[in-house]
Amino acid sequence: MPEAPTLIAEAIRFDAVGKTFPTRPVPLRAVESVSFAVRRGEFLAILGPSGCGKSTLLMMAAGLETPTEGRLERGGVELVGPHRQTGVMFQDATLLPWLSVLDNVLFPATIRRIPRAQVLEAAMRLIETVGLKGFEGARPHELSGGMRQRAAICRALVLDPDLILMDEPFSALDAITRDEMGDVLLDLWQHTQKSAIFVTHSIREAVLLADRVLVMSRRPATVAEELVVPFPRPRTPALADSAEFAAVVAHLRGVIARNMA
Amino acid sequence: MSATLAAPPRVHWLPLLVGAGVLLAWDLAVRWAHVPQVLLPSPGSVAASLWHAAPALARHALATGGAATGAFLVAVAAGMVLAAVMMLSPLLNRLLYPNLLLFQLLPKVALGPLFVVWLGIGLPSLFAFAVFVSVFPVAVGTLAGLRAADPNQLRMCRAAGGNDWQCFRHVRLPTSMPYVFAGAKVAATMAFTGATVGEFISANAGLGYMVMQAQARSDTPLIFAALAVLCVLGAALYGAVGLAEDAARRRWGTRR
Ligand SMILES: Nc1ncnc2c1ncn2[C@@H]1O[C@H](COP(=O)(O)OP(=O)(O)OP(=O)(O)O)[C@@H](O)[C@H]1O
Ligand SMILES: [Mg+2]
Repeated sequence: MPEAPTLIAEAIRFDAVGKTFPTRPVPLRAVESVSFAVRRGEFLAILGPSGCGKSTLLMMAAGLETPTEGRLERGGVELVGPHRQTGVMFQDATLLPWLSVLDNVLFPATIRRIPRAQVLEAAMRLIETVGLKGFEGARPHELSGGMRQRAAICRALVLDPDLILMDEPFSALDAITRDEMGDVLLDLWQHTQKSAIFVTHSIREAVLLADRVLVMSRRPATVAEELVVPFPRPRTPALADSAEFAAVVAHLRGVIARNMA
Repeated sequence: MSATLAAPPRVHWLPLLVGAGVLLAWDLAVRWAHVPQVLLPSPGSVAASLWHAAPALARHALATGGAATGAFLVAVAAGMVLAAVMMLSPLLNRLLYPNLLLFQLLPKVALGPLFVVWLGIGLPSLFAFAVFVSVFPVAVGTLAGLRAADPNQLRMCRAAGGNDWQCFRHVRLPTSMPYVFAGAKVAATMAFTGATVGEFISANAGLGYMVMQAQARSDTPLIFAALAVLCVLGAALYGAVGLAEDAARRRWGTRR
């Protein structure tokens, strides 16, 4: 796989990307001419109505689905399949139940045939950062839902990707755990220079975590609105309690409501 | 770690008690009703036969046990390979699977004489026959297990860069383990059925052969003795599969 030229300022670029599923009797148009780019180090959140095509968008970014129109560039090179420097998180933790937490975290290294010793230290550090220390040997069924998603975060980050794709990673969690996971992610994020695309239904999550928010239209998905989040970094979870934060959330809610009408 | 969810303690002596009761009833019935030995020997005479014929029984048990165990191992390996091939190649799947299901439905034991026609009397035909009758449950079971893999886990594997083979090896195969063992347990009993029937029709050694010989001499106690040894052998193989399953479950326990 060609290494990304460091001069490219964009981690990933969607160029008039469209996707039609060959369903019967009528083909299903899921994504319509979407163009946007994520800068290096930028955290992009995507909000949009259910079923509009957000997951489809993200699956194309992950190289798991191919666009039917347009083009995807990853670090200046056309994206043709799963990229080594991309980490992915799904709605469910999708840990393999027969592997320990540590082996699950190391799974991308296993697949990429990277010697365990080479990534073990990074894995242990991540596990400690997300608060799973002591659970390395546990099986997924022994963990709570939040702990499983913490392990999934570690797995997505273990090969030190420069782009991480997250499809509603906390939506299966209860509200309190969910906010807690947002804080974990925020904390983890401040110390890295990674790019991210984060699909969510939570406006709070989007505003707290993202540098920029895209609001998608109803299906087929197009970029309806774009909002730059006006809060400087580093941010703390306390930001979410401020009046300015509430104002931005309210504004976004208005944008989404207008968009759905 | 999962011991907290252990099943209630098993009571071993209850089924044993029932078994002993049946033996006692059998013995009493034979005594009181004066049933001829040729029809139904008493447990005592079966035990005596077990004792007297022990060396011959051991020799024939070794033949049957060896053939059945060997056939079982070949059937498990062949069944898994067959299932893997059908999983990885849609074309081969379409060609083979319907036939496999059809064979699964056939009374396969009835095909025994054909093996004698093809391979002659002796170990090769007997072995091939035992493999033949026991390979289907493994193949069908394994294929069901490979197909039961979680689509989300497969997608995760592909997102991590896994190719078809890696996702097969790291997701489908571990998922299939309980199914493989379910098939293997059926295969374990089928292998003994196959070996014994094979010996009925095509052998000069083994417990099945011994039963036929004893029958010709009207030595019913010896028939019972041979059957008892056969039961023990079958139970031993089944138990070994169970132990292997426990070990695999510790390794690939599929609870979420
Ligand atoms: N593999 C597929 N084949 C056919 N149709 C598909 C496929 N994947 C998605 N779709 C359709 O594409 C549309 C968009 O789906 P997608 O999962 O991208 O929506 P979403 O925005 O992620 O929704 P949600 O917010 O509920 O997760 C839906 O109508 C869905 O039925
Ligand atoms: Mg979705």
